Amino acid sequence: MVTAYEEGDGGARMWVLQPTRSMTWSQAKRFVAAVAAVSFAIGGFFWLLGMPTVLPFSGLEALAVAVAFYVVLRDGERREVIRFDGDQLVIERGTRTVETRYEFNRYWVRVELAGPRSRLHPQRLLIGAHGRKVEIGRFLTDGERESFAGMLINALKKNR
Amino acid sequence: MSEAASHHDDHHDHHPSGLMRWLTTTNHKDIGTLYLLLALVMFFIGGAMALVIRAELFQPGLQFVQPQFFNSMTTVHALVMIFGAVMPAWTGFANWMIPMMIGAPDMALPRLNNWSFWILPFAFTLLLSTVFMPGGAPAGGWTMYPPLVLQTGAAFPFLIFAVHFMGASSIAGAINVIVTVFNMRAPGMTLMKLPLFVWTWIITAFLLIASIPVLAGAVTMLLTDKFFGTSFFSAAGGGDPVMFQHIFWFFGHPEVYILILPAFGIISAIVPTFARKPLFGYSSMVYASAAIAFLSFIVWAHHMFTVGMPLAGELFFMYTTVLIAVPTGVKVFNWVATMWHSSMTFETPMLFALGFIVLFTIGGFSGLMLGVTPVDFQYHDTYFVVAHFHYVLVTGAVFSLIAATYFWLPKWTGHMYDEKLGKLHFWLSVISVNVLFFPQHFLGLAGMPRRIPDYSVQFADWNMISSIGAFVFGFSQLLFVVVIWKCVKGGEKATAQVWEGAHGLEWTLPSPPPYHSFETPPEPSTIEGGMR
Repeated sequence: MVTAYEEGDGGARMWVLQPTRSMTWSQAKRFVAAVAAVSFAIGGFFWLLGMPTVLPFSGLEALAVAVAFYVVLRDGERREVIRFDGDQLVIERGTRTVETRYEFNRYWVRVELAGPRSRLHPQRLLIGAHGRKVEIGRFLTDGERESFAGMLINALKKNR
Repeated sequence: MSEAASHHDDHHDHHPSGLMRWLTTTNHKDIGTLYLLLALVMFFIGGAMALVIRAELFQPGLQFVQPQFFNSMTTVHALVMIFGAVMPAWTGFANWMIPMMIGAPDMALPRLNNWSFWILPFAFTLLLSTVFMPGGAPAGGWTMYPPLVLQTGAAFPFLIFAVHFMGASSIAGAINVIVTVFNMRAPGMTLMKLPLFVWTWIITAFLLIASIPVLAGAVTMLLTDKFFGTSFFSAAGGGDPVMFQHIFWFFGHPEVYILILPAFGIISAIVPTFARKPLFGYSSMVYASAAIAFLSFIVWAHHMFTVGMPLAGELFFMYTTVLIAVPTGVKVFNWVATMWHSSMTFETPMLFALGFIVLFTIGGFSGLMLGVTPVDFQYHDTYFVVAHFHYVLVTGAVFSLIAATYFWLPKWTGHMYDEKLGKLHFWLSVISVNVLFFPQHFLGLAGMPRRIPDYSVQFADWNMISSIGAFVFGFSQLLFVVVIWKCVKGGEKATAQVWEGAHGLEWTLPSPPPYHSFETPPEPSTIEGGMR
């Protein structure tokens, strides 16, 4: 998913790229708690009847559900922020905090939509200048990548 | 020029070709295809075992196999068909269709998806290898009741671990479906706009999550009773073998709905398409599915009315069992109401769907008979039970799987299948399956017990007819393989919509769909609610 933030002149100066997710953390927590409660209730019921081996499997399963939601929602928190800062095109990437940052001279930046590595591989969006390239938007779909590449190229042309 | 890309953000980093592609694939369509192929292979392996059973029962007396091997066939046939054919087939359909139906590019956890599939070939290698072991394959029935199952030879631990692997695979598949549907829906795809196949699969996934740990716990106790000196189910050590039946059927009855609920979703997709009318009562279908799922957890003891329960217990389980007829009836009436005053055509998927509605209802009615406690005392462990659950699982689950394959095959391959061969497949199947299973009602009512290789001569005629039906039904399924093979290799080009009355996001994609579905998220306006 690509969100564009506009400045006063109507042109986009910042884009935030993120994976699409439909659930919030609090919804996921309530959901996992409900699944775990049912699972533990069944395991506990059999424990009380003298069948202790169900409960550990219920626990393992509740853990697996929780890990699955954690992995997917944590993955959904990845962000790539692409913005203009003076003469620089800045790319910041990270989960919750900026983990990596790249800067390119906006007048030398090239945006390249490279073909897939193989037939089954998604295409790649590369941004680079002066011998360095950064691949962005790997979690986007091909359509979103194409659309974003077009927006970025237009913004670079407009600001030259 | 160096690349500064430092983050391996997705699961599509390496794409080997050939066999390695299929071993390492994380694409939902590839994995769906693998599940469906495994299910087809298992369907024929389980079917071959069924033919061994029916060949032996063609006449009274022992003709072809020894009783021990006969019992192994009944046991492994059931395990293979339930865990190897029907369940993986549903997961295959879920993999192929759910991302396309909710407008997602793939499943939420693609690596888990790959892993959950590749557990299965190992599980079934373990299970099927037991046929060649000292003491033979497990022969105590798929229900694994102790103390009989504890007499299994070298195959016993293989059986237990195979069941654990199958359960782990099912749980992983269920978690993936739940996380995908709750996180990856296209904008505008609210829960009450989900196609019914997705709804019934979510409910199935919850059933799996609630019931599989119970099976895992039960078979683990069998293992400790056999090898570690515990006495959970041994009366001599203070345990209770009947307790195993309770715990097994607490899993086993929801398992029945795990096998049939996605079928309700399929039929709810096919009937409106070929009736060219929106599904009657979409919301009631969702609530009926949820009601069936809930009731499935409070009916388990109807499988064991004859163990000597208190009268209050027998009444409780009888009432709850009969209550299931209400939401199931809602579904059947809704399908009939959808067809009422409609413009129906009878392509192969619709024929199989109609076959499902009529024949599954027969299975439902015989289930009602079995749910009535005093009646069950007569029918228990007879061929009436065999007839009942085969009407539910063969003309129910398997017919809907075949209907779904014909329905979506043009979408998957980009080619129309051979309609003439498809119809021939339907008519051969629907006639022979009734020749196969309907006489088993009469055998059961006359008192023929299940799981016996030899029988009294008064049962000879109906057994012979049933066996003839079995062989015709079994060999008719080879036609299904021919139709699929021909369709994969070529044929008339399929359009994106394929069927005139088809509605839903999957029909907006080209046929065949691109390797990555929905490269551009679908417009909310294309999402229809309550159609299917």
